[in-house]
Amino acid sequence: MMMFKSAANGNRIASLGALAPAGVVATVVYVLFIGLPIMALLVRAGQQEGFLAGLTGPLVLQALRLTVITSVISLAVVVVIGTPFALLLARRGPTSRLLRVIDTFVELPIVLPPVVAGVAMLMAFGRNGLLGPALASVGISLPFTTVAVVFAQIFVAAPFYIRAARIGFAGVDPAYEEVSQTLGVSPWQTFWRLTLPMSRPSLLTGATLAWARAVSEFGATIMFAGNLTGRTQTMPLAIMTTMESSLGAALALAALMLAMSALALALLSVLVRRRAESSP
Amino acid sequence: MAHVPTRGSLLRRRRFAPARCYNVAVMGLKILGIAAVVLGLALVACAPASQRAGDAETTLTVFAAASLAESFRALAAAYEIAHPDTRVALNFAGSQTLRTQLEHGAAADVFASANWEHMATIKEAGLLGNAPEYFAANRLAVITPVDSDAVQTLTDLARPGVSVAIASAEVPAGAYARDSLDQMSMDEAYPGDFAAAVLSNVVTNEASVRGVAQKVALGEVDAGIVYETDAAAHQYAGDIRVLEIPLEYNPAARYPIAAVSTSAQLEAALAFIQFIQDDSGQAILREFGFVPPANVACPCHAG
Repeated sequence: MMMFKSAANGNRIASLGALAPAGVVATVVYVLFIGLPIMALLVRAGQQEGFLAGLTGPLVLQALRLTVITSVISLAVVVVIGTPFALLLARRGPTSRLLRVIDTFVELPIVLPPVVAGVAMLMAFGRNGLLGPALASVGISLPFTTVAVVFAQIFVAAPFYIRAARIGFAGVDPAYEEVSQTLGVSPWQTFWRLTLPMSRPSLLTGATLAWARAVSEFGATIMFAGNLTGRTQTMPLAIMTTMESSLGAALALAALMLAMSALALALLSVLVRRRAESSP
Repeated sequence: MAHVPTRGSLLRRRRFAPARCYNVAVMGLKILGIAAVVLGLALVACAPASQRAGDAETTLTVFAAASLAESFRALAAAYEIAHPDTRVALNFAGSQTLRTQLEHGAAADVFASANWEHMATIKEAGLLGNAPEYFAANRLAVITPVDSDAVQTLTDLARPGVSVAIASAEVPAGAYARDSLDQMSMDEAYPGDFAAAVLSNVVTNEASVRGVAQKVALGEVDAGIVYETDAAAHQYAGDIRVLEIPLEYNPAARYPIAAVSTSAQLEAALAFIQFIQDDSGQAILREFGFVPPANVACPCHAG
């Protein structure tokens, strides 16, 4: 939580000295660089014929529905598996070399091109993949299914949550947990009542980033899950497809995704701020 | 959190004590990274001069349909030999992708589409530098993985449980495939709902015909509908089997080519197009399985 405190500390500006103008210029350039394309997208979307029809068209609604369902499932899986994993990394990682190597390894998907993840998943879970024949023998075929979409999302999104959760848990002093347990509170209850609330901002940040990454997943999905409306065509895939047939629908989807991202960001800042204010 | 107990800070310091194993791993990664960069630079530096941009006087940028990949690489190589001062840069994708890129200002000199519709859109946008002409034709084929016997005849495409890959409807190959299935549905030899049954077996709508071929070659689907030239492409040999589609259900795919009006070297672009239409160019296309465009009235001359 220290990082949120120092961010609020505003009296350091004087020490910037001669660097301050450079900072201002850089800020303006950067804000324009990010802001202009987003503005242009919204302006163009507003002008585009067929924007409203696109927004309520079956293709957009099916893509939206699929994206929301798969990303929520992915996030749930990531949180359920990632939380105990991150706790182990935070508590035992410092003394375990193996865990530190694993820690570095699980962050690989952050830097790995998603399309590589897609090829890798095809090689592992595809019909002719490493596990393909074994899966087929029990009647499971993963590629080109909605489950494959969820797999791809989990693969690319999980590290964002695990990393943030690990940092959050590491920021909770184990001494507090020891005291809690000395007072007779069970480890399970200590986690729920002490560790979890104290690391909540980190967990929320991680969960939001992971969800946003799952929603925007493209490369691994198109490679491993294919592109079929209603089954595997999430919003990013639908944007690519409609961009080549109906710009109105593509802009509608893009504006919708932009709104979702902005909402996630706003929600996150509200949640984190409320938490930071209520903590002593 | 404001007052951190001394014991806690001691604990924290101990927790972050360096560990040799970890450091060795990180060091290893760094060395690997540096090695990769050095190797990459060495490869760039050692590349033959002719492969680097800037040496030739003219660089022609050619946007060509994905199914033209091998044949246009061969055409470009032959053209560069005949015109040593010209370099041909090729961009392959689904024709609909190339069309979209051109509409949004991509710099190209020549556009070769796998159907008339995408060429017409570019023409209506005022982006063509000359009247487009057909230079090649193609037919469809069904391909199956060599180790799968799920699809032995065209009728099998409609069997429940069979997985089929086709190109999406915007892709020329996807549009032709849908036409072909519709024609089968209208024939007595096939059930009336044949096309609908096959389409319900489709598990992925690929962005180019080569995406379809790749999914079949990997054995991830039971069948795919591609061009005959894709089915004959050497990189899939050994991985796929080919099922012919009878001519009566097999729409002729015709490829128009034209110069792009925004080209800064229109003459060179027209020379390249002429080369493709001449005997030597046509012979190369023939090698890759394309047939001469039938002598049909070309809609491009009408407008």
